[in-house]
Amino acid sequence: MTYQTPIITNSSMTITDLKTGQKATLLNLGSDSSIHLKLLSLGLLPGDQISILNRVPFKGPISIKHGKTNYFALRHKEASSIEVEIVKG
Amino acid sequence: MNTEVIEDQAKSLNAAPSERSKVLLVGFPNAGKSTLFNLLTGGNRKISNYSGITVDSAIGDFSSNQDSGQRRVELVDLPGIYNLNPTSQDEGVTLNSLVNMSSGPEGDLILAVIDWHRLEASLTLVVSLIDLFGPHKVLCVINKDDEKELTIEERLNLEEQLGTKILPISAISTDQSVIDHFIREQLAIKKTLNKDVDPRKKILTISSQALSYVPHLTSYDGHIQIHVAADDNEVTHLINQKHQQVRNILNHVKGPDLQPSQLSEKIDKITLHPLFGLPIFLGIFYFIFHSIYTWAGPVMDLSEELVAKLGEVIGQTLPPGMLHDLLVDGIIGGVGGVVVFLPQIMILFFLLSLLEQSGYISRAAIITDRIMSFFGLGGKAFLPYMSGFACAIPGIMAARTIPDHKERMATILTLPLITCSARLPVYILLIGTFVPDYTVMGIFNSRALSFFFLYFLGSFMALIIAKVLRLSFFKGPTGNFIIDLPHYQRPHFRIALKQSWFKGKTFLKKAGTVILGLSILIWLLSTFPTPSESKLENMTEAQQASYTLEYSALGRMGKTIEPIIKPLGMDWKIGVGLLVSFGARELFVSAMGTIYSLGEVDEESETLREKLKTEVDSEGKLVFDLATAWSILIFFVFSLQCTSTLAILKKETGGWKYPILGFSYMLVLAYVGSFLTFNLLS
Repeated sequence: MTYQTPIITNSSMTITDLKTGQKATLLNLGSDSSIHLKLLSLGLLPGDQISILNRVPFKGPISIKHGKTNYFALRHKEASSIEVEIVKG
Repeated sequence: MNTEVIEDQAKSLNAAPSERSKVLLVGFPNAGKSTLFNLLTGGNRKISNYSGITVDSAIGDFSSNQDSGQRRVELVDLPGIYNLNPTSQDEGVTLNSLVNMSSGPEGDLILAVIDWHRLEASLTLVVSLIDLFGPHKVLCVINKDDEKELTIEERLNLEEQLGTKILPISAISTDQSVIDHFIREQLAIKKTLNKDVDPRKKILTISSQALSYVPHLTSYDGHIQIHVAADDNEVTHLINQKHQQVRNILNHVKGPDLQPSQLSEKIDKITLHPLFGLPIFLGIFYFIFHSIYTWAGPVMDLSEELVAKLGEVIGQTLPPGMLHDLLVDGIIGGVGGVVVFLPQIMILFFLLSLLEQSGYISRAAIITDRIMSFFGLGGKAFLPYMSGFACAIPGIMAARTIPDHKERMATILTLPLITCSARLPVYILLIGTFVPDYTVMGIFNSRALSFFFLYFLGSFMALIIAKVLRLSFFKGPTGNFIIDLPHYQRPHFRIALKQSWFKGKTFLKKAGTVILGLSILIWLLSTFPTPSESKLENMTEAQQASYTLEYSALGRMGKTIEPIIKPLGMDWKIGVGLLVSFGARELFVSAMGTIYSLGEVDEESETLREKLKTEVDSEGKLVFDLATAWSILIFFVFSLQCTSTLAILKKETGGWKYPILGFSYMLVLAYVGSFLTFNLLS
């Protein structure tokens, strides 16, 4: 059985580094398998585009748009384990 | 297969109507399984627009089974799952039912419910189901396709690629008979396919963590081989593959219109606003309490008058005697005192249903998550707490969605502190009687604010105790919080009215059975034993009534505990009310109704509120003042006076240890809280 090799990049940017309204590409879904599974079940895959919609103050949850019609939210802590790359333009 | 064959099959089915088939509803949380269940069976499963409402399975007969010659089909509603690797106890229930369903041409059928707005992710689950059980065991309905956006070409293309039949529906507009027919047709087809069944054993790979939620499957030996993955990567990799597969299948499907999601996005800009989010959240809940008072007020006054009038009419018609007293004091005084709260209960559940259907609850979970996580609870604890506002029992059951055992225990043990609807009659009675009605800061109503405060106090204490538990008995990491945000939708008044009517019926049923029975018992205990005639000589009528009550079994019980509750500002009559309220909270109101009817000497009809206001002790001092009223209120905020909650705690934790622990700590809180309140206010 072959496993997908994680995408290794030089950037160590995570979702928490993104500003409201910013678009980014998911590089990986983190190493915690429970977070990984949950994101998969919402239909997120590495390579997908997301954008930040709202951020609750004091490091509260971040709500995110995925694809054209899907929305989800996650805690700051979980968001900090997910690496992304900003989409230019 | 052509339609003639299907019709033939249908005929042969009609020939043997005694056979029975089971159809399992499987799909994502909040995909509309329970809506479909209610539609097809006429059942009354709770429906809302957020995940995790269904945590146990339910079985119901198809309504059409009653039609002559129809085969008997049963529908099983199961908790929502995302994939075949369960991550909590409720998801385990679903996997267990799936693996153990009967196979073969006569066996069960899976009805996969897909949310049109989450088509891609949900189809991954369908693909997994098809891989494991074969295409003929799985049927698909695509729910929430309200605007018929899936074209016929797209549907046919999907059917061909998946190998199963697909029916796009809208739970709002699609006729029940269409779905009914769709299912019966597939049952008929499946019966002819006994030779097509793939004889090879299929493998289901789950993680070792997942296996802990389906313990029965360790010894399972059936048509599926359970394989426990060496590490979690193996499982995530397999699920990832399925997602890729579905993306390829969906290449030609345009997908849902963007407009509703854009609207949702705009609403979220306001409801999740960094500054306004929290005030909006508080405002919505204040509005609910406000409406309970302002809207239900006139209706309640009317029903109170009616109950009082009824007592007066019966009191004048019947000759004096035991029957007269039982009816007027025991039943009308006791049950009538509780029944008048029906309008409030119905308004509360009507508004909560509108809110739940709208999709706001998930946003409320986000707004409050900072607070929840501070107290050591994950986002998944919010929804059980939310259910707890209706009743602790569904809340405690909803805690099954919390994966971590310790976090689940901390949630379950603090849930009874959340203000449930059984406290409502006590709150309304005391606040409505003793808190003066005035406007605070120009817009708020003093009574609605008192109400809001009591709800807030209960929830706040629940969180504090949860934190204490999370730092001691149930120490451990907080589970993660990743939540799907459904699109906002316009709530349906019809569903809200149905929910509200259903809750009202349940409330009346409880009043007519448990409360009625216990009210009669309270009356008996407060009437017997009777003092001898000689004792009552030379007493005024009022003195006689009060002496008889003190002499009764209940009076003696009250007198016995009086020294204990005296520091709380309560006399023995209130003590009696507290004692009986440990059976069910509403009994406090019913006991007060009975006791004050007994003490009543004139025949004039008075409402319970008027009686409480004017009650004086032996020295002529008012028994109830603001301090006593608040002392009682605080006692009710904290104490666990509900036998049904104790029973469900025992069931969910597997022993008496936790129910006893919960009961004790809440009793201590109630006593100390009341003591402090009374002494601060008087």
